[in-house]
Amino acid sequence: MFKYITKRLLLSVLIIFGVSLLMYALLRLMPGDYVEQKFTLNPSSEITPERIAAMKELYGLNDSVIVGYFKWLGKALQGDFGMSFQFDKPVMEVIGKNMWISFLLTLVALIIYYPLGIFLGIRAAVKQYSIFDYTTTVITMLGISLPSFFFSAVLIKTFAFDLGWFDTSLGLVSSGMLNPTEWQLFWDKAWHLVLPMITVVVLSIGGLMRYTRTNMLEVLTADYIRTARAKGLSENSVIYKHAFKNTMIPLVTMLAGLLPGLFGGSMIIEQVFSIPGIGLKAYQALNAGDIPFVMGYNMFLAILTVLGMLITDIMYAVVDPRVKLK
Amino acid sequence: MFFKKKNSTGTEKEKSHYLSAKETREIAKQNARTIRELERRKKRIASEDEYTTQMRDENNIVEFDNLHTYFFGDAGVVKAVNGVSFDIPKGATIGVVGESGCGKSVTSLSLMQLVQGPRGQIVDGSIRFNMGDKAYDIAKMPLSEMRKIRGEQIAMIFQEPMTSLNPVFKIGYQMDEMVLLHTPNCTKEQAKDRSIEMLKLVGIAAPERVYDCYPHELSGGMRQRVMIAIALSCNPRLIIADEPTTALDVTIQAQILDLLRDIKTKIDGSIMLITHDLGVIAEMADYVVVMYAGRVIERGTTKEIFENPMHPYTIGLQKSKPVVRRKVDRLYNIPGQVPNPIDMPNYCYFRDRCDRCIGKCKEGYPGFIQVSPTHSVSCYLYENAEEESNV
Repeated sequence: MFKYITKRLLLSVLIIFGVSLLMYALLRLMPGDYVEQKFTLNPSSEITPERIAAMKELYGLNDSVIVGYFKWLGKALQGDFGMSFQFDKPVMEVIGKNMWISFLLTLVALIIYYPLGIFLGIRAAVKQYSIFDYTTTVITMLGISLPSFFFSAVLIKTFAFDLGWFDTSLGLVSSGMLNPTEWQLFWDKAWHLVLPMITVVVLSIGGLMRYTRTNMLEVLTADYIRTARAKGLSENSVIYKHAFKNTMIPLVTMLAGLLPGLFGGSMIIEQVFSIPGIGLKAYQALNAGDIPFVMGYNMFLAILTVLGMLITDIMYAVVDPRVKLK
Repeated sequence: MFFKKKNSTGTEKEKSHYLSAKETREIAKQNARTIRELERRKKRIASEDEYTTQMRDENNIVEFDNLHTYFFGDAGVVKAVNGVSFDIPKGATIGVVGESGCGKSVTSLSLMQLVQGPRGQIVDGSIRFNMGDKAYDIAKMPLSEMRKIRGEQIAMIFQEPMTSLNPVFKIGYQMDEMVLLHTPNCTKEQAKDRSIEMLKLVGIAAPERVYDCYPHELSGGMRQRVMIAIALSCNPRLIIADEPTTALDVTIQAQILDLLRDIKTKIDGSIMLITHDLGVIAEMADYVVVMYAGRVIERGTTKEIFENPMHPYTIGLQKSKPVVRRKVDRLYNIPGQVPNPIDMPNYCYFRDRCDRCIGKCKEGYPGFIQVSPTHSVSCYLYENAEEESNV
């Protein structure tokens, strides 16, 4: 087990190295670097070509892709991911500061939709082809098919503008709060996270529910389920004990795969609801050509992804007695 | 848009292969209606007298009477079991033979009410089960009551030991579960003792170690022993062994059969042995039921069936069995195929494959003809034999 994990970790270093090289090259190949975006393309700037050249030199945009990459890598290996062009702060600080609101949003949504999705999936499988099955299928399919920006916009239009329950104009705080207490601020924030959370739940639950349903249907036709019934077990213990434990195997392991999504935030939802999370920052940085931040953010995601995959494999060995890691 | 037009001049065969959209819809609608009603019947809360009946003969443990189990498929109703009647006497081993898909397994699953619903349903007929002081009709029992019979009165050993044990639970758990369920006031320790005792009984050398194993850590033969141990742990009065040796190699087969025979004498129960291996039947069974395309075509004692097979199908089966030291160029096989189970014809289902067909074979399905008190056959060839014996 220990040997397996070491081997996988060493392999991950290689993967992350490849990912970073690819990422850096792609970023540099993008048309319009930071300086151009900020000054050259700005019609009101009266900046001289010499100054622009000096700026490019300063931001390290004159180096070739390879040189630039190794300069970045040299620093990154020492734990220095550089200063963000856009936010004027160390990259790690920006990530660390904005990560938690995204994490909170996704975590709470996950806690809501995971058990709910699994439960609906199981019920739909048990009552296959019933009205319940068809209804949940149609509703969750709607959820899967809706684009997140569209669904969020519909929510905002309905609940914020028409009904006036939410004040979405300033992101996570209401406008016009005079001397709010800590407690009031907290509730205000939580209230503002309701709509984005609904969006995440509705968009994610469908896939999970379908996945559980398919899995459960497969398990329910297995021979050992027939054995369990032949023993005289009640239908509930057949389903929630014998079938469920088998269905849980892929579901539990899938949970580990959600790690990057948990911390990475969602660019589109955060953008639509103006939540100052890491997804929004990444979106802004990407638009501005902020190479250090985008690199830092993507490395963060890459490491989480690799870790998530490793945890998935370990989880398999934990939940499924047939799997042994070597 | 491009559905094949129903060809009015087409032969019977062509029509059965292509369904128009309208026909498909009609079938689906019909199926949904029937299934809904039958499912409701299974789930209802019924009073005991609704499913209490009278055994025809008190010495039988099970009497199948005109059992019909259908599968409501998209292409039409598959009559997997179509009017099966036979008895399982107390303390006897009864062998059910027939080729694949003839309804052997479905008959046994009907007895356990384990036919895969909602598509598969017991539609008609009765299965009388002798409880000792009273008799229940299993075909009419609601599921909630059926659970008390499963495992405790009737236990089942399945065909595939490799997949019949739950892969994520330890053997011990799966065994204890059965004991705990059917023994009132049983503690976990008692259940464990019982399980280990059963593992010893089925000839597992290190029962304590196997108790803590997961199914995948055991070989096929071991798993089948575990299955038998589970089935026997609550002293059932009837054991259904659905092809218990099919998935095993020959040396293990012999061991498992010996084991079954030993155990039968120990618990003094009956065995319903389903197989397509005539050798197994010859060795194990007291009575034989031969099935073909969802119907019983011949039944009798093992001696009668092996020494004096009457139905052309039974004779064909015997001939297609390889015999040691007899040299043949080619092993005999019955020509043709089992008919399409949807829209069965209204004459002997074996007619199209039969080499001894007579003119009368066109007229309806033959009834049973009693050739001896225990031997009966469903074939027109023997009609005169019965009259002669009656005279």
